[in-house]
Order: sequence, then C-alpha cells, then structure tokens
Amino acid sequence: MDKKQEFLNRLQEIFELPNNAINEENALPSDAWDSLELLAVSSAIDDIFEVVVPMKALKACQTVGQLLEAVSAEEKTYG
Amino acid sequence: MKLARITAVSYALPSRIEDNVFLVKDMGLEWSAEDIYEKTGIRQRHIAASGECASDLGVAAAERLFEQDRGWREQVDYVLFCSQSPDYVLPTTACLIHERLKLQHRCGALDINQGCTGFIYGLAVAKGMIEAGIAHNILLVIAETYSKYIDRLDRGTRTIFGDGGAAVLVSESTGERACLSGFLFGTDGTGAPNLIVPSSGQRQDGNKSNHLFMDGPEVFQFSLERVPSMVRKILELTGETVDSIDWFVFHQANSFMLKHLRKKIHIPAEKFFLDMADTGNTVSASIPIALAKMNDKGVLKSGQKVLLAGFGVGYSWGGCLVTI
Repeated sequence: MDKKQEFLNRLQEIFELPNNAINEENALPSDAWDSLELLAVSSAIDDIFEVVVPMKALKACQTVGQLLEAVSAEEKTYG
Repeated sequence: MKLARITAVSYALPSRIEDNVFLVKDMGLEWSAEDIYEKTGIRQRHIAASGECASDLGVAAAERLFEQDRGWREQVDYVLFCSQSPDYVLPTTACLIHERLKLQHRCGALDINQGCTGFIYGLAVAKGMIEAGIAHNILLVIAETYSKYIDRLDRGTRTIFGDGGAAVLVSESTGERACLSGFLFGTDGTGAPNLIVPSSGQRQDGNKSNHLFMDGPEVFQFSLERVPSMVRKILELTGETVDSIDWFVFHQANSFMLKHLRKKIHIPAEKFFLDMADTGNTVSASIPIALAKMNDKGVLKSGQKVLLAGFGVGYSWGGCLVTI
C-alpha cells in the first residue's frame, strides 16, 4: 500500500467514516480539529511520512487534499 | 573518585482518588469512563485534599524512604525539592520539608522550579554537588499538586493530571564508572504559552483564567520533534544503543504520546516502562514514581542501565543514563 492510501485509511479511522468514504477532494469534517483529532492526525503523519507538520498548518487545512499538500511541503523542506 | 548514585527511591500518593466514572459524572462529560481510558491510558488519578500540599506528599515519600534505613535521616546533608506547586512563594518549601523531617542543621535546602523535566534537573544538581564535594547524601524530593491549578470542567487537563510525590536518596559512592551519566538538556521558551498557569506569579496576564492551560496537540508535536533526537544523542554520548539499555523510563505524560514515541524511537515494548493507569500524569514526580514502582515490582536489578527522559512545560527537555 502506498503512503497516501495508508494515510487516507488512517484518516478514515480517525474520523470514523465508512469504508472508501474519503478522498483528496473531501472536506474534513467540520468538527475535525478538536485536540484529540489533531493529535491523531499529527501522529499518523509522523508515522507514515516521518515529518511533523506544524499545528498552525494542520489547523488551517479544510480538505484532505490540503492536508496532503501540507505534508508534501514539510517533506520538501526537511526531506 | 567521588561518584553520585541513586541509593533508594520511594513515593507517596494522596488517599483521595478520582476515577473515570467519577469524572464523567462530575464534569457532565459526553465521554464514557472507558472513552477516557482509551484516549489517555488513565483509569484513575490521586488528588490532594484541600489542605494537602506538595510538601505533605514529599514528606510522606521521604518518611517511607527513611523506613528502609534509619541511619539515612542523619546522613542527609542537602535537601532538594522540585515542584511547580510549592506550599508558598516564600519561604523555600525545601526549608519546610527540612524542618518536618528533622534533618540536621548542617543541611542545605534548595527549591527547583521545573515541571516534567524536573527530576532530571534534580539528579543533575545532586550529581554536581556530590562529585564537587559539596554534599555527600542528598535527599531529592519531588512532588506536585497540579490538581489545584485545574479548572474542574477542563477535560483536557483534569483527565490527565494526578498528584503525587517521590523521594530519592542520591549518595556519594566510589568506583570507576559513573552511575549517573549522559546528561543532556534543552529549552525552547517559545512553547511557554502552551503549558502555563497564567497570572500565577507577579505578572498579571489580562483577563486570562488562572487555571492550568495546556495546548495538548502543540505539546505533543514538541515532544515528537525533541524527544527522539535527545534519546539518540544520549545513546551516542554514553556509547550505548537501544539494545544495550535495559529500561527506558520517560515522563509519564499520556499513554498515546508515549506509545507513539516508543515506536518512533524503535524501543521494544518490553523495555519501555509505561505505568500511569492508576496515577495519571504526576508531572516532575512521574519518573521517580515509575522507578519506585519498578523497584517495588522487583524488575530493577543491580547493574541495569536505565535511560530517563523528561519533557514538557517550558518547553524543557532533558535526559540521562542511570546505572542501578
């Protein structure tokens, strides 16, 4: 499984969405960014991509695609 | 050659317990008791009574320590007290502890204000004093009553923190190999606003509540960024590897964070001491309480190497290697 798909699967678990209900175009659930979800998403990014996306950047993401872009920006900076 | 070593460790907890069932009811939470356990790894925490202060917990832990050897009380020539919830701004709480424990008048007494890294700081100061010939037997007391700072409706802090105290005797020994080594510290004050009790000293922070504030996700990210590299550096500094270390004992912050850090550093689960279900996060006391629990369980053996890591409020981080 590639990293992106692994990450999408983790997001699906974190936000308790039905199977295959998540893709890059999805808006994040409106109540996504409570502290526990932030912890879980940050942990998933670190696990899968081995980068730490700053909290401000994470909190600004409104779609799954934006989350992936934030990860990609960190990978370019520190990769 | 004078070398400092940990001779004994003990701990004490308040008798009052708040378990998850109580918190759900008292705070009117939507979570169940089991939800709290799944999110934090904590089933209950000990909470100091209204008149019970950090010095009371520290003295209780020290009295337990002295029960192990009646001669130690007279031998102590320095008492260090680490806490961020001292009995008073002044006098120094270590002086109050000195009096209550009936220590010798030739004994020095000093408070250290540090949180989650406090035990590492205390060990470093004790080692420095002993190896410089300033003291021979240092009683390091660590106790916290963060519960007194917590908003009773704040689920992010009240579910996590518990109160507790520990006492550690650090003594002069002779030998060739240091028993306390590889000390490493770091600080990043930009993280100060993320774990703070506003208006708790002389600076008044406007209309902010004077309850404990914690931005959990920010503190988690700080830990991800700092702790793995610190552990790697301590291993390099001491010529050790993850394989050659017998135990890793980290500040018992919350089990989610600790499990993630363990995986990230590739520490085998069987070497990683995680025991906070019955005590919660006791801040600076969490590492010595963990060591005392390990000792009580008989899992700490003479000659074993234990890597300690503290991290949190400040931001502050620090670690060292202890040979038992």
